[in-house]
Amino acid sequence: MNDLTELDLVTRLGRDTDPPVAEVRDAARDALLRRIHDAAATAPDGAPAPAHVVRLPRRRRRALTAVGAAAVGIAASIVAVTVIAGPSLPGGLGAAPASAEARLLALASRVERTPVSDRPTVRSTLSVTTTSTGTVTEARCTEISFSESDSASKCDDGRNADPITAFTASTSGFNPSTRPDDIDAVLDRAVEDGTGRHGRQSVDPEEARRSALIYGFSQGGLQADTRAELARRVAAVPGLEVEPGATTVLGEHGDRYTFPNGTGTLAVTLDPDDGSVLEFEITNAVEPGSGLPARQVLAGSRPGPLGDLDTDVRRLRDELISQGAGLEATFPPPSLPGPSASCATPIDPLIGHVDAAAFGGWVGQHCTFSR
Amino acid sequence: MTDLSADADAISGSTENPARFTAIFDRHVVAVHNYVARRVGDVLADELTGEVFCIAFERRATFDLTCDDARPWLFGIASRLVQRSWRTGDRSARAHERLRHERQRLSVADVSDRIEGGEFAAAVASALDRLPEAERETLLLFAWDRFSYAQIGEMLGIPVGTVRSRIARARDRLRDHLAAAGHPVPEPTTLLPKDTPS
Repeated sequence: MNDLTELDLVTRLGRDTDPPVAEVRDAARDALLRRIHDAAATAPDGAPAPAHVVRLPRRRRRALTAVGAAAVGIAASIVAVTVIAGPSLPGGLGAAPASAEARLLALASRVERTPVSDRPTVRSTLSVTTTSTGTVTEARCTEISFSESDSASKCDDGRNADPITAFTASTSGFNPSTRPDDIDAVLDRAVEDGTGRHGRQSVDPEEARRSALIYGFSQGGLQADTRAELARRVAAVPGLEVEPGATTVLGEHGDRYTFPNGTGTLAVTLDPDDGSVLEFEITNAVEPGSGLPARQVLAGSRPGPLGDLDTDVRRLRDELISQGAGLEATFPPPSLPGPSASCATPIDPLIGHVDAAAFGGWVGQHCTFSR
Repeated sequence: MTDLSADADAISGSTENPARFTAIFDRHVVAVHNYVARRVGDVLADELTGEVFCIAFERRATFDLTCDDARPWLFGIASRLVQRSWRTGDRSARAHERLRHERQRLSVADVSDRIEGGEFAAAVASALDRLPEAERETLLLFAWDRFSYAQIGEMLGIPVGTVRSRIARARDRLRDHLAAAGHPVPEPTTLLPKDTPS
C-alpha cells in the first residue's frame, strides 16, 4: 500500500509549476505600469486619494485551545539552532518573571526585537536515544552554519552510533522564511495530517498542535519574528512548566520548559537571554522489553564564532554552493508552508548515500527558497 | 528579516503614490501566475496574470490594511477572473483545450515523476477532477497554495468551520475514489515526527 495520505498525494501533484517566462512577466508589468500611469494622469490635482476601508485589526495570535484537530508531520531539529545575539533581561535571571508563560512572553519580546545573526558559527551537538531495554545510542557531531541556507556537519562514532542516521535526524520542518501568518497554515496542515476518514481524528488534536508548536520552535534558522510568534503560542500551552537553570546533557544551563504529550513529555531547554535552543527531549511510555525508544535527547552547545575552516569543510562548502543545482535535492516535506525549500547535498552515485567520505566525513546542505 | 507590513505599506502608500503598487507585482507575480496556471494551465495564466494586478490596482482601496499578506486578496481576484474566463467563448475553448492537454499530461509520466510511487498519479488526478468544484477549490487552496483555514475562509467568504468541513468531505471523496480505483491510502496514525521515537 502507498504510505502517503490522499492529502500528501494532492500536495505533491501541485508542485513544480513553471514560473512565468520573462516576456510574460514583462508584458504583465507593462500593463500594470500603463494602468498606474493612466491613473496618475487622469487624477485631478489635489484629488483625494481613495479611502481605505477601516476595519478592526485581526486577532493575530489565536488562542491555542480554540483550534481543532491535529497531528504532526514536522521533523524536529536542534542541530542547526539559530544564533540570536540578544540583550539579557535587566537584572538577569533574578529579575525574570516566575511563571513559564511570563518568562516565554518576555523572551518572545526580546527575540522579536533582535535580528537574526548571519555570522557563521560552529557548535557541538549530542544525540542520545535510550530504548525501553536500556540500549543507548549516541551521536556526537560538530555543526557549522555558514548562513541561513548552508550548513555542514560531521559526526563521530558514539555508542552504537550511525553517523548517517545522526545526519538525517537534522532535517528541518519549518521553512526558515516562514512568516508568522503562515504558522497557522503549518498547524492547520498538522490538523489535516492527523485527520482520518469522515473527519475522525486518529490522534488527540490538542496534543498534536502542541507538538507542532514545540517542534517548530525548537528548529533553527527561523526568522526572529517567526520564533517570537511561536514562543507566544507555546506560552499559551496549558500545563506548561518551567525549570529555570536546568542543565543539559552537554552541561549548558538554561530554562527548561516541559509539558505532557501523549504517553510522555516534550521538553525544550532555552537560553534565557536569546532564546537559542540548548536541548530538546522527548519521552514516551513504551512497553518494557519492547526495545522501542523511550527517551530521545538532542542537545547543542552555545554556538561560537567560526574560525579557520578545515580544508575538507572548505571544499564541501564550495561544492555545495557552486554545484547546488546539480546535486541531489531532497523533496520538501508536505507540511511546509509558504515558500518552498529545496535542499541539495552531495551524494555518492554508487551507494546513494551522502558522500561524506569524499569530504573527510563532513556532510552538508545548501537550500534555496522560492515562493 | 521579513517585513510583515510590507504589503500593506505598499498598497496604502499607493493611494498617494500609485507607483508603489509595483512592489506588490514584483513580490507576488510568480505566486499569482502559479495559482492560475495550476488551475487553467500556463497559456491562460500568461494572459490572466497581468489582469489580476491591473484589477487589484484599481481596487486597492478595498484591501484590508490589517492583513499582512496580500496573496489571499490577489488570489481571490484571480479566482474570480478564472471563473469569469470560463464564461467567455474563445477563452473557454482555449482553457478546455489546455485542460484536456493538461489531463493527458497528468495521466502519464510527468505526474509520476512528481509523486513518489507514480502508480497513484493518474488516479489522484482523476479523483481530484471528480470532486465538486467548491470542495476541490477549498482543498487546493489548502494543499497547493498553503493557506490556513482562516485565510481560505476570508478568501472564499465562508466560515472557518465550512472550510474544514469542505476539506474533510473532499478528502473523504478522494479516499473513496482512490480506493475504488484500486489505490487505497492509509489512515494517518502517527503523531510524532518520523525522526523521533514513536
